[in-house]
Amino acid sequence: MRLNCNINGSQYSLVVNSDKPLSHILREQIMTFGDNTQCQGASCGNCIVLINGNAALSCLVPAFKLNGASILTFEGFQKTRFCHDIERAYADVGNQPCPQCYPSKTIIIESILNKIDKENQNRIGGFQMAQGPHNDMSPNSQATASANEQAARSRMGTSGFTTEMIAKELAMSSCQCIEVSDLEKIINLAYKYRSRRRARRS
Amino acid sequence: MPEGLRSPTVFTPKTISEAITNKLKNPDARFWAGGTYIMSRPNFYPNPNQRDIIALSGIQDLSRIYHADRYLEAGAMVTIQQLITMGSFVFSKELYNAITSIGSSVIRNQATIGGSLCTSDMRFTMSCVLATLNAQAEIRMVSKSAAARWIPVSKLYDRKGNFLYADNALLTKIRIPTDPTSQNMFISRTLDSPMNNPTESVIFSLQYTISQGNLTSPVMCITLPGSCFYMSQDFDNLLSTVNFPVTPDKTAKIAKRLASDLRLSVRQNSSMLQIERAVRLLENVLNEINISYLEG
Repeated sequence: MRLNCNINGSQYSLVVNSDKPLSHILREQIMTFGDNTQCQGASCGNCIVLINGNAALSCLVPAFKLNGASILTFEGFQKTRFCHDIERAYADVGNQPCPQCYPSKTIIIESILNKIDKENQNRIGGFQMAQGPHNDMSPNSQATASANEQAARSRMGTSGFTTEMIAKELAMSSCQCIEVSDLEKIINLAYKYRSRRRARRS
Repeated sequence: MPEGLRSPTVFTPKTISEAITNKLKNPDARFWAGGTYIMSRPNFYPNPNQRDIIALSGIQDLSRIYHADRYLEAGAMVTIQQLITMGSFVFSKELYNAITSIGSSVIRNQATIGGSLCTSDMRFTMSCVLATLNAQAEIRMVSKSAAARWIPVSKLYDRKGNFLYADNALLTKIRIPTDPTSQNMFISRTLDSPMNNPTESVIFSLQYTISQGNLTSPVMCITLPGSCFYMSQDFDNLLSTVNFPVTPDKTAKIAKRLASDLRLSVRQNSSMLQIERAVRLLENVLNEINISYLEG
């Protein structure tokens, strides 16, 4: 099949097998080597890329799902300002992932920061927006919802992500080279830098 | 493209009936939901015997979520992350935690409810949790009439955990009871990652009510991902004889019965560790319920 997609800002038109995993396409046809994947599809978590802004394991995405997609690998992400925020946070905390999982952990942190942004936008827009058009909430379910929300808020740090949530997100990457508490600090710092820059711009 | 490797044909139906027609015309083609399980199998690519693909992502009807007073109805292509977003408003805390324990959001963004229920030989957290909650699944038979049937999720599998409708039906909707007036309690526990470590992982869930010190209407499901899907009316009846505070003897008796049942149910590839873990999980849960009962 012919695959048209945008990889790291460049438009590509490739002839690939329809079931070929994105990780193979990146390695064999685009020649990117940032993903360090070795697991052959066993979800080691080292081949994470951003597809249309969402983190995804490139070994689990087939070519036929990628037509028109915008893919950002670690090589492409490294050139953006967003990456500099995270690198600055690494430097400030004095700890960073090992070279093996550096790309994947950095991309996961970016996806967490994106998620925090989205959640903040949803909060501003009110919960009604997130519920969808068909939702008819009874008083009891509203009570459950607000109890869940309150419990979550009470556990939140500055960025809105708890240590538990960060550990769960990073469970995707099997490498244990960095403490979760350090990663929490890194995420909070990167989020702070990003918010400051946005505030300056606006 | 490697020499001799065929590129599978990808069908992209827009309606359920079109998908069924595609399947009738190409019996070897497989339905493709999120693809996380299929692609994580060893030797998925390159594979010279790759089957054609019927991609379900273009079918709008399969991506809808509808919430009524007593149930939440989700299309088979709703991702687990979408279910979590919706579920935070309607599910109990325990159920919500059980669903959020499924992998990280990277996987949950991609994995769909239908896909996680329809894997042919591996049972994950969704199957166990939904079977315990008595969720119903709508399946369309792959036939010219494409007849729809609602069946309980627990009836989708045999005791070894094999999906009974692997090649002759399409799962289209799931209906999850969310009755806010219900007094049912729910407990779910997962040990190890079912995806990465299926030979050691155990998934346990139990729905019950406590009435006058008795464990009433318990429904328990234990899943050993690659080898067993255990739900037994007899065992549930045995659990319903539990009176709180429960004695250590009674707990030991129930645990012993579970161990012998599981030994009879499992496939040959399951480990004794899984059975031991399942038994300890049940003991642990009974103790937890006991403590919460004693604390009032």
